[in-house]
Amino acid sequence: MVENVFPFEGERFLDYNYVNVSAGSGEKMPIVFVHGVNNRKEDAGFNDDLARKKEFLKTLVAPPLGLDPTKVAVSFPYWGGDGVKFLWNQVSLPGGSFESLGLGNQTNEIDFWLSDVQKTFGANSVILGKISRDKSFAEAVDLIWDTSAAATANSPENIQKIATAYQASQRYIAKHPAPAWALKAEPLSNKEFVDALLKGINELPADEKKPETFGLSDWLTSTKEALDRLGSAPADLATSGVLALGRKSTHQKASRFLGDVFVYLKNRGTVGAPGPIVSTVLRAFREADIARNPDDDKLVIVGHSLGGVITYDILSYFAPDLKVDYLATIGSQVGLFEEMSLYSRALPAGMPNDALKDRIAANPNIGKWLNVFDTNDVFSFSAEGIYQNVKDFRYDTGYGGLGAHGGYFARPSFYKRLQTRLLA
Amino acid sequence: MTLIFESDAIKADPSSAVTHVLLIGCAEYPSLSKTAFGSLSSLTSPRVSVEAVANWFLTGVDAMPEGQGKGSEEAFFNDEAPLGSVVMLTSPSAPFKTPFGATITPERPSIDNIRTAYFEWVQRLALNSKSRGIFYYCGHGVSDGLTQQLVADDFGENKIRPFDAVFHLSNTVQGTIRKAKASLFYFIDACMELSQEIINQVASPQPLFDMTRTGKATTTEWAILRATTTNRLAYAPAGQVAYFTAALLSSLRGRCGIEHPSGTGYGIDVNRLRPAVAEFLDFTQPGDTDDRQKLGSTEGEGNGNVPMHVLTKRPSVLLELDIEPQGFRAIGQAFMESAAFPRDTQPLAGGPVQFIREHGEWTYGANSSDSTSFPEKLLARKLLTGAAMRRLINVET
Repeated sequence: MVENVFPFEGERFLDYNYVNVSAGSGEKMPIVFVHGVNNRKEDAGFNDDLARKKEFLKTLVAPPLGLDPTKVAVSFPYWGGDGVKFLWNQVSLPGGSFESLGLGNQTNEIDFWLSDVQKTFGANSVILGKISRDKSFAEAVDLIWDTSAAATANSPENIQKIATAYQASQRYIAKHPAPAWALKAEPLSNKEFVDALLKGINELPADEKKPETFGLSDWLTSTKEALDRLGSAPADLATSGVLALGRKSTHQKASRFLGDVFVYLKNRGTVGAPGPIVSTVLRAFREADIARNPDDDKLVIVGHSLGGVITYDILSYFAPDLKVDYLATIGSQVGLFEEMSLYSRALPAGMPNDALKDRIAANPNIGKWLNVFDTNDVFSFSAEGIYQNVKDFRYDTGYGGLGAHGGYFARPSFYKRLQTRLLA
Repeated sequence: MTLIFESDAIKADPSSAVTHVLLIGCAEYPSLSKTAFGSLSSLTSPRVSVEAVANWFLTGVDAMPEGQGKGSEEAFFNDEAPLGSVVMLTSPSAPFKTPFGATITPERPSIDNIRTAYFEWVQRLALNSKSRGIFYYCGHGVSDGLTQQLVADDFGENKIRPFDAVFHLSNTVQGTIRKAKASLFYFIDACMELSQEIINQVASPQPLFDMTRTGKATTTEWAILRATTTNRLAYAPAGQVAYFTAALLSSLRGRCGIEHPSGTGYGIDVNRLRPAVAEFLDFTQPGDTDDRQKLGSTEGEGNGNVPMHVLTKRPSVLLELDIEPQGFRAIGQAFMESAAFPRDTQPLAGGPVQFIREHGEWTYGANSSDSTSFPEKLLARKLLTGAAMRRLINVET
């Protein structure tokens, strides 16, 4: 049996407990991520979550878009500080104060993930080899590293390793899209499956970027343990205690969602006097725009949830001159807000006359626009039925309930599909 | 009545042998809530479906300017009975841009407008036995357990008789076949779910207008093709063409037909159309769920061999190929070949692949781009004469 770890590679990891990241010497700022509701620096796991997004955007999305991953910088304008503030610290929630379910609570994170995977695949026992046979080897590999992200993405080092492992897996899949060992009628155990994959990666030609082989490492051990539980029909998942915690967290998230929306609408301001949230995000957009150069002239904006709405509001009203090459709105309510006529920019006269046919004309400043939603995510909405220049893309996070709303960015496989769609 | 198209031949001689088309799409039903029909609601598909059918008729050589008409694999063609007229009633009543450039706003399909349009349609069809009559309806339908009532858009608006705006299709047809001489084709994309309200509230099964339903029929070739079976629903994806209509149009677009007695072309008649539509309904609803829409029984009489559409080329089959276990798709390939045509191979990495091939004898199968994985699977010299079929090839057996 071969144990592998994927060594930390690439640029030095930055501390992202900040409002904006300034590009260092030789760096550009081509990707701006506008967070959604429910993002607070003081929340457990905030920095780890930010680091995960940054690493995955940099390593899994940027290169196919023609951006150099060693130089690319990802900007995270933080507007959560100007979001809703609960004067009594949410004592209005039934049951009083709440506990946070973030990355800081890794055990719950894993349990929720495993429970959702079971629901997604409709089985108590989820066997990688069976997924490989019945669906595809690539899907089984995605599940490995998505599980790894849920089980071990609680440190920047682990996130780097997961991203590296994921990239190496993609190279292996490109050469071996359906390896015999992964399609056996009598499937390997999940642990054997991971070992066979790692062995295969190590046997890639010498010119491939190869992982070092170490002894047992914590992150890989945790990944295998989680996958082992997945394959052995765990009866210990989704206990009543965990579900109760989930319900409480759901209540808290829903109240923050509404609160952030109300505060944004109340305080967004005007072109002449933009509000604090708009100012923060717009400043990041302008800085990224200025950082373009002839060799690297693309500007990519990713807007999650209300971040997508804020982004669209800015691009359509506050800064229609700002040109964006790629816009991705993820789990967002852009279309819903348009249906309710809540944007600062007025709808074109008479729009819509025929709701079945009429679509709002493309914003000239938006290049390619992709809108991603998960049908399990009650806060995500379609946009194709309203705008001319957007492509909807359904992505099932596998998470149930409100977990789906933030679930997109927890999984390496999401970033792979995102870049594929952006390039399509 | 909104006349979308009238041919020069009909203008010159109303008794010419032509095809007269009446298209009705009821979607809005603004007054449904005023009645006891709590289970019915507004629809989005009928308007889109009616336009799709209208475009199929209007993009052919008869209605388009010379040289711009589409071929018979894409649009209507019948040299025995060219397109004579197209009348359209739709809700919502929005402008319809015809393929030949005119923009016309069809009238609303209220019960009065439907009665008028239907009356005039029957009169036209009484002039020539070689003509064809096409009646297409998309909207709400309900059933009394045996036969079908179709619901006009103004249902519930008549304060004195709120249940007046329904009509009994079979009784309407029974009267029609004693007035019209032409061959009649009815395509009904509507539900046939049992409605207790209909049974209880509608006074009697009313035809569209009073016609004698006894005595000798003036036409013996007629058929009603219904979207679904008794006591079942018909389905449509929101804002898109309804399943039955989509299957009907797919069938007409070159997927069925039989050699015409004249030796030129292939006629699509009811005998060919019904199985083809059924195949497409199966094809578009994979799986085996209980609520899959299935074609209703065909009501009518005659030999069913009068062509409503004629293909100038041999019909073709849509064959979709895939392999199992699905995990082999990444290296799998599907192919088709025949004695006359070399092998055409398509990769399966992106999912099932489709081939469209002329009816006849074909060999198809699957193999792998990795010769060490699984041996080639071959299904040799199969006679393919259907409209649409799906084959799943197990590469391990």
